[in-house]
Amino acid sequence: MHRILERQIKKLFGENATFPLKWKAFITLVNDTYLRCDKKIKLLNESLYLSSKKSLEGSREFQEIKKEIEKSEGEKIESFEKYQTLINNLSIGVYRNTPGPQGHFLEANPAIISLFEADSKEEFLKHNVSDLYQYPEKRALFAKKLLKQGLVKDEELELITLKGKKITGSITAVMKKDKEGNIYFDGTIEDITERKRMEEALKNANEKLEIRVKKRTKDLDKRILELEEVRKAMTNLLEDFEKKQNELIESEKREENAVKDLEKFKLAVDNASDHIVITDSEGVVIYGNKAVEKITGYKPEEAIGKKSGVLWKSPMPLEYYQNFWNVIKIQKKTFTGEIQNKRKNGTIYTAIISVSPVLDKNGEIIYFVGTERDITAEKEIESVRKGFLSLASHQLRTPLSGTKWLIETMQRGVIGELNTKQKEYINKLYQINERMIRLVSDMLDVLLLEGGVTIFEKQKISVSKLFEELLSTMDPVSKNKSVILQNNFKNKKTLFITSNSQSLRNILECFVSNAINYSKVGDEIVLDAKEKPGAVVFSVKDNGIGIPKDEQKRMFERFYRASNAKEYKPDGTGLGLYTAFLLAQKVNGKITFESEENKGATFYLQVPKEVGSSGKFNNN
Amino acid sequence: MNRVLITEDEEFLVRALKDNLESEGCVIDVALNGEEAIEQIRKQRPNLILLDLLMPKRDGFYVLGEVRKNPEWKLIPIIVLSNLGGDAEIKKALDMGADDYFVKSQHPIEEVIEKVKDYLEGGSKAVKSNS
Repeated sequence: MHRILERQIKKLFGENATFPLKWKAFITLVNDTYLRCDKKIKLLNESLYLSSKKSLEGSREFQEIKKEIEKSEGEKIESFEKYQTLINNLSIGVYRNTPGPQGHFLEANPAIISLFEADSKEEFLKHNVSDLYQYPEKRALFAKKLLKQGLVKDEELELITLKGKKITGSITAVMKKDKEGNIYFDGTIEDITERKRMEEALKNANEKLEIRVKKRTKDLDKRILELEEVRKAMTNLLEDFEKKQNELIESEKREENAVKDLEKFKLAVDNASDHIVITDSEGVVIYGNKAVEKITGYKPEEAIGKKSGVLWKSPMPLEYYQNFWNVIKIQKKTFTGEIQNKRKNGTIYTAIISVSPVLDKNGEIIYFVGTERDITAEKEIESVRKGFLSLASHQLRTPLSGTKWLIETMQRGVIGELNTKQKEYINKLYQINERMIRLVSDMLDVLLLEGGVTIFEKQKISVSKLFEELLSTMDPVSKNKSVILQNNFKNKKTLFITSNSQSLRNILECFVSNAINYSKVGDEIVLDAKEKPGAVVFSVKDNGIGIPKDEQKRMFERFYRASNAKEYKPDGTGLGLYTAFLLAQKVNGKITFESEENKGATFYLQVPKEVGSSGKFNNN
Repeated sequence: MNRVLITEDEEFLVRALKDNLESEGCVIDVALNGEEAIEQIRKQRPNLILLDLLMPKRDGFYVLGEVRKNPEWKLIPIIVLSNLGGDAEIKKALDMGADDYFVKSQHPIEEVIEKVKDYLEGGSKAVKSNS
């Protein structure tokens, strides 16, 4: 097929357009005409060329040529008419117009006239080309492009009909030049408004679909992630489960052991010789061991559910109970003390009790655990022993005091003057008697301390006050010996300890008294106290005769006296430090010393700042 | 003239106290037990009583009680002289109305004599322990 025709048909009807038989014959005809024309034009051109070369004289030949030309012109006209018919019947718009920013139509087929809603061809041709552009300035651009390229294919333009309907047209145009050199544009226009709309709709639909797909993909990704999380969680759960299972097995084993331990423990508690009671926070008994019955006469099952205080309470001073409850319920500490309780049969017994609160993790009391040791028998023995000691000391002191006062009466000259020798003897007798008195007194103290179950009361003690009291007692003694007592604790910050003040005083008196006894005239004795974590250390330092190294470890033995001390002061009892040692034990204190012979000694007493939380020391 | 009643069952202690107080110009009556003491108080109306605690028949606590509950006697100063040195005994005696308490073996006789003089001169009336 002739290439121009082919192109035109393709352009007009699409690549694979099919035509009815009648149309096909017509197209073939047109094609043949095209081909023939081409051939003839070629031949004509050749012959024109030849003839121009040979000159145009031969008229016959010229006439023939003329005839030929006329014939071919006729054929051309015929073919043009056919072509015109074809164009007029095409549904696609075909036009010719002039270039320029406005442009005007030279030719238009019915399809384009109807496309732009013109009433007639005449009306249509009156309009500028740019009038049909939605944006008329675009016409200039299009014209420029066509002029430049010579051909514009399938250009989509936003156009407007004469009645104002917006349409989209697909334009294919070629630039042509006529014999005179005038330029014009031949083109076809196809209304693709609907297609565009469809395409747009499709595009929108696609976009929407894409968005939906994207969203869905995103959802799916999210879901996948979620599933992955779930999988991980499940894995962890499974691992945990396994771990828990192992732990459970372990804990079951432990529990089994604990139960065994607990059974042992319960057996031990059940059969302990001390009475053990567990109460709730209100003091109602929830457990009692066998010793409860032994001591109080109440069977554990009789006691359970009742208030322990009511069951075996025997009236004690009100302050005792106030202190007791204050310690265990408010301070939430252990109370230890001596108490008198009543057995089921009404008899009174003495016990050392220790009651501790059991706290939950929030510090709230859940139980009280109380132990009671019946010390009635010990107390009775103690009482008998004390009575005996008291009487014995009285009996020993009486003759000694008689001797003392009789000698003093003689010394005072009440019964007449003594001569020098008699005075000397009487003085010696007096010293021996005084030593005897001290010995009896010290021994009595030791015997009371050694055997006693006595519980020492505690007081809040100011260290500076303790020193003041100590100095007021010891100052006359030191002045007598002409030694100086130096209180280095003076002006130091306030320091308090909770302990038994009498015991502390007795111990410190022993230190100071020893220091005075073994110092030389004019020596200085230094008293001090220092704070240590949780404790206070008292010290008494002298520059006296000191203690020989090899005898130092025996200093706390009963009646032991260092060899140089015996020489220096023959009338000591050897019980002072031993008594101090016993007293220190009673107040949970510790005595130590440093000494060098002939250089002096420093004795230390270390006592806890606070012992337990009860009002008394537990000295079992 | 001041009358002092010495209530003491130990003869040598009576002796020492008597000699010293007489040298100070006191008139001395002696009771060897609690019963005698009450009798002497009734008879002699002493200005001061020196009182031992452990004695035959009635003890010193009995005498203390009797004197302090008797409106006519209750103001007589009583100085306890005992070799009972326990805190409990000292407290009991002071609570029952003793004006002073001396553990005999621990105090020179001079101290006791000075204390007696103080009371007789109407000086010391303060309650204090001299254990």
